Amino acid sequence: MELLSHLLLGFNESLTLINVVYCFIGVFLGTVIGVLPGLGPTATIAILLPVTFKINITSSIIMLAGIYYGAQYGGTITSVLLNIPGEASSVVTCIEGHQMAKRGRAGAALGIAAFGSFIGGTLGVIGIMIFSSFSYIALMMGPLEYSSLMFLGCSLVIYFSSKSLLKGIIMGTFGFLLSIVGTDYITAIERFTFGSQSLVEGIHVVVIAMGLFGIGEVLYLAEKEEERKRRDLLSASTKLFDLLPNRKEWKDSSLPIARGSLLGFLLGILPGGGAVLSSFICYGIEKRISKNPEKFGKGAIEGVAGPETANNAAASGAFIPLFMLGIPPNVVLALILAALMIHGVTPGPLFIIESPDLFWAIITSMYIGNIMLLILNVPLIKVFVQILLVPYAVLSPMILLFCFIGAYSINNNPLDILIMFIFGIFGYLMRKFEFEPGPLMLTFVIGPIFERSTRQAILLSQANPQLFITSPIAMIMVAIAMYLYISPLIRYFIRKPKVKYTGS
Amino acid sequence: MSIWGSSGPDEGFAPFFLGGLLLTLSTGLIIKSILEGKEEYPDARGKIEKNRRRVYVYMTSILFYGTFLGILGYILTTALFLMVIIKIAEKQSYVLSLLVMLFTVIILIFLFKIFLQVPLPSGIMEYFWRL
Repeated sequence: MELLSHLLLGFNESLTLINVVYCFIGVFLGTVIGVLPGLGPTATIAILLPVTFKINITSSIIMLAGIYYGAQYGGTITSVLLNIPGEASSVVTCIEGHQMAKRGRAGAALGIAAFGSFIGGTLGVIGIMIFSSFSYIALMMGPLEYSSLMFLGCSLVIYFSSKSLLKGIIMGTFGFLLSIVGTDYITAIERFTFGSQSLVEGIHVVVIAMGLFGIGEVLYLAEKEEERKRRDLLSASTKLFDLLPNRKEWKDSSLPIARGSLLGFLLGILPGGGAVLSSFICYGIEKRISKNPEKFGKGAIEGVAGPETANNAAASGAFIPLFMLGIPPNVVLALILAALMIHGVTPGPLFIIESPDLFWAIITSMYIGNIMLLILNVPLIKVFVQILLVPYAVLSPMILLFCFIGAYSINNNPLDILIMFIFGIFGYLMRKFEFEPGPLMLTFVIGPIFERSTRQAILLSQANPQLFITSPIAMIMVAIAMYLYISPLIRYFIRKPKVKYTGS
Repeated sequence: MSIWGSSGPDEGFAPFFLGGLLLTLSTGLIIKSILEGKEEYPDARGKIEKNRRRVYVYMTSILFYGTFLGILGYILTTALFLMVIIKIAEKQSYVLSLLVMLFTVIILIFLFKIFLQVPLPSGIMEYFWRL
């Protein structure tokens, strides 16, 4: 009953005309910047931060939150249609979403992503309301627990490799090595920067993803005349009634959406986890538990539904540590924290008690924002899919220009275009020699958190060899990880003479 | 870079460990390929020479874009890039190449420069940006 009265209080505030307008501006801007690679919610919120000084606090936070979760929607569109991830959290969607587009199911992929995002986002908001009092769980996660969680996450490399396990592990190791480039978090010593200021902060995930997926794909197709013709013919024959998921696709997606919501929400609560990590882990889990893992890599809708739901649920879950503990789990929410503090509000354990109207207005605005995003995105699918009707001879330079501007706008530095080009050639060669980019991207994302937390844990314990048996959470995660590492390897060696490994 | 300090791994530990692992795994892959001795990658052995030239044109154009963006500015580099790709690599007509070039440059300037206010490099075109 108390919850109901809080909700009424929130809706009363968030449904005022001015707040609805700011919510719409936020989700619309979020969708647009999500579509554009490189231009992420961080840059947009940073640019808009001074604007919020002149707006009342509720409206400004509603708008900034809208940009954040709206970007998770928008990032999918270019991933599916052009194989360019608009956002880091949509990188994994390229793997299955673009394959679906190649099969003439781009509309279905975008449709299920929009509905999955809506469900994930809405359940995430419900989760905030229910679990807000359990935010102390985030405080139980020290470096040791993080290290174990990331060790568990690395095991998914095995499930990201559908063609060759050995090549998958090689790519995973290489991704981890790439993540090391930049300044070491603990000693502040530069590693593999070769004196370049542009590399001091490391290589941006979007630069690597656009190079491997976007430019790699364009270069590969430049050579494959037949595949281009097939793509153009397929696009021309795409009918409008194929633009939404069919009954079977809905059925196949229902459980991944449920799992994505739960997993995304839980990982979203953890600082440093969030949308990117949850989408990768969700993809790995879907592939691991699928009855037909061979479908993955060829356009499995489960590989779109699960991660897209997870990244939106994580975007909602990330608000828990911000509001309850005053800890921003990522850079975007750090900016939202800054906006709150500029207005004299300090999030933390007393936030709900001291500012209930603000808290519940933000929460209820997320419901409204998610409905707006669904209304905005589903009809637009038909418009977006028209991109595929453009002949590839004209579309390919457009894809490249999109990648260039995305890479350039990260640091306003042309060097990022050249770095992306190197990864483009690498992506092209990977396609030719049948190496998969999925494991590389996974370890690139989780590598820095894994290394930092492991070193912190060892330093704190003064290199105690019994370190991992001192925490029950760490022990459980290491045990699960060991099972996940060993079981497919055993299966691989047992089955090897009979059947080629498929990643199951 | 130090690999191991007095109380645990230093900044050099992960690169050293991962480098060693990568070397071992790559050696394993080479040995596996030699032992299996089969032609696994048909399109990697020069069987599609016909379109290889187009890939080189694409690669050169991207390299040109990244190198000259700061010098020539966004408009000029983008226009030249589009002309080279559509006319030379894709062998489309001059009319189509020019139309696509003009249309794209106008749309991109409107979207990024005017609407989103992304600071694009002006290069030698700085005078025109100010107009």
